[in-house]
Amino acid sequence: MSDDERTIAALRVALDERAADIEPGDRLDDILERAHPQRAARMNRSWVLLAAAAAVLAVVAGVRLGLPDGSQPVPGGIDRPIPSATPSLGTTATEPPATPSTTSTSTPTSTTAGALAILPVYYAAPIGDDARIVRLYREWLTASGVTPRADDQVRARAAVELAMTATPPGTDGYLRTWDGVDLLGVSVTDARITITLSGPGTTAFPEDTERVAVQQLVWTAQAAVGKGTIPVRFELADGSGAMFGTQPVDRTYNRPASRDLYYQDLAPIWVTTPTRGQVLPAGRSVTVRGEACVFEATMSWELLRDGSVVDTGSAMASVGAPGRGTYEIGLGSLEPGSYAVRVFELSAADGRKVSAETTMPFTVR
Amino acid sequence: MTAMGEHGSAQRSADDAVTELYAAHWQPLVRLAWLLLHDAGEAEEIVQDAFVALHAHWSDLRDPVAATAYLRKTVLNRSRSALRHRGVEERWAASVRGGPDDPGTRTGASAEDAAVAGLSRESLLAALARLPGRQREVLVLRYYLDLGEAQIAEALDISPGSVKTHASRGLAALRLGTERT
Repeated sequence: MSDDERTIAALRVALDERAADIEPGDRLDDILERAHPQRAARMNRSWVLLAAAAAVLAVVAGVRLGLPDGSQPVPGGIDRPIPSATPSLGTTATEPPATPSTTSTSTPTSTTAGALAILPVYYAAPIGDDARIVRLYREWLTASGVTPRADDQVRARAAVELAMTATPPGTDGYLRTWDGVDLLGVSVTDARITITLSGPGTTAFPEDTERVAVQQLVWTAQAAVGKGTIPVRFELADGSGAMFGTQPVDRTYNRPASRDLYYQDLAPIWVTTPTRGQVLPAGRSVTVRGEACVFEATMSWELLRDGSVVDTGSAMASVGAPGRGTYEIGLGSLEPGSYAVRVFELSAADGRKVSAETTMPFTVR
Repeated sequence: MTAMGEHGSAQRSADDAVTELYAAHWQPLVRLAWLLLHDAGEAEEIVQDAFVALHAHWSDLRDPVAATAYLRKTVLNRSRSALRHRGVEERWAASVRGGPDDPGTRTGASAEDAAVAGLSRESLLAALARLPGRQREVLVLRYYLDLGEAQIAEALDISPGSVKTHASRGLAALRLGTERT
């Protein structure tokens, strides 16, 4: 490899990794409002979301708007955030799409349509048949009262609160590792995010799960702030020295330093499009997109309709483990109905055990 | 949800177009602006402005490929003036120096650090921050967005020959910059 080639290779990695840390908030409503303010008052969030859902489809279905040179989308893909419970057509009052049952942010309020920020929130769950291996998945949620214009601290606090207390609708299996611990505060500067918790939490989990639970809050807070890998520090109000008794508070925490190490924290298979519960228009091709860190870049998938398998296939990620690549699965045009796509990796050892999987429900109508 | 609905309204058509382009380009463009500016809030503002401007010009463009080029150009131009106005170049460098990528504040070792000594992420990004604006833009468009020479030339309003020159000078400077640090 020549010097230039080495420099180019390293520069690509540096730019990709740096950029991947940026998870911008949703501003589509703001853009459309500013484009024609006279209609803003009547702009219905649900219409916008459905339009956006259709748009995502149009893009992934092969039209490839704006990638005329055939270049790959950036790592992370086009995972336009769409809340999990898409309001149905015709509703005029929209509710916060995800209302956690136990937090102070959960009370549905009569916020104006489209006023809520959509926050990336990470959750921990077993990744496959071996329940001891727990890693992170990402959901997109809203918290009432938190708008796109909210400052970093408000966004971070709301997102961490959701991470600790919410159970996104349509999910099970996310671990409630932070039960019994209250979030007392989040402070954000350019150099540090500090999360203050009421206490250390239980000691009921395996140590690696406790590590991942801490990383859950680290990823969530950094993503909500959106300014890269700002180191995260924890404080425990009761004076304890370690979360769960094993994760010390006298050090800073961060995401792994490179994307090739993300497997330490992130679940090997994510579906980023469609998003949970997304409603897709009938008559258009459906393409599933996601990220994967799997052996030899190979995965299997099945499409379920009302719980029964109606289609199966295999997919390839853009790179194999330990790299975290992207993948696409074309499902073709689907009849109206309730679907779920399950993407999974069979164990390289015996080809039967599922070593990693995820399932994403969506609706076509 | 066709581009021209039953009402055939141009406004509605612009809404649909902007919504589709937003789905494809919002995140990549914010990331592009961020790589040039190192300010997440400013990056989002600039890209949001670009989409609002696109909405206003949709009736002239009416083509997703042209619209994409328009968005990219607008984001580049506005990022450049933001840099000019605020002396952001120094903050750019400072954010690498004192920021989360600074070895002093890092909590984990990077695999690349060991693998390609001298070409670590932070030394490269710091060296990139020290480059003249044009060279930095060309390198980011080439190696982050994977644009070809012709597209970069169009986006920056310079000749393909200049793109080549900026790219090779930028790369050479990066190599020297990272050797020095």
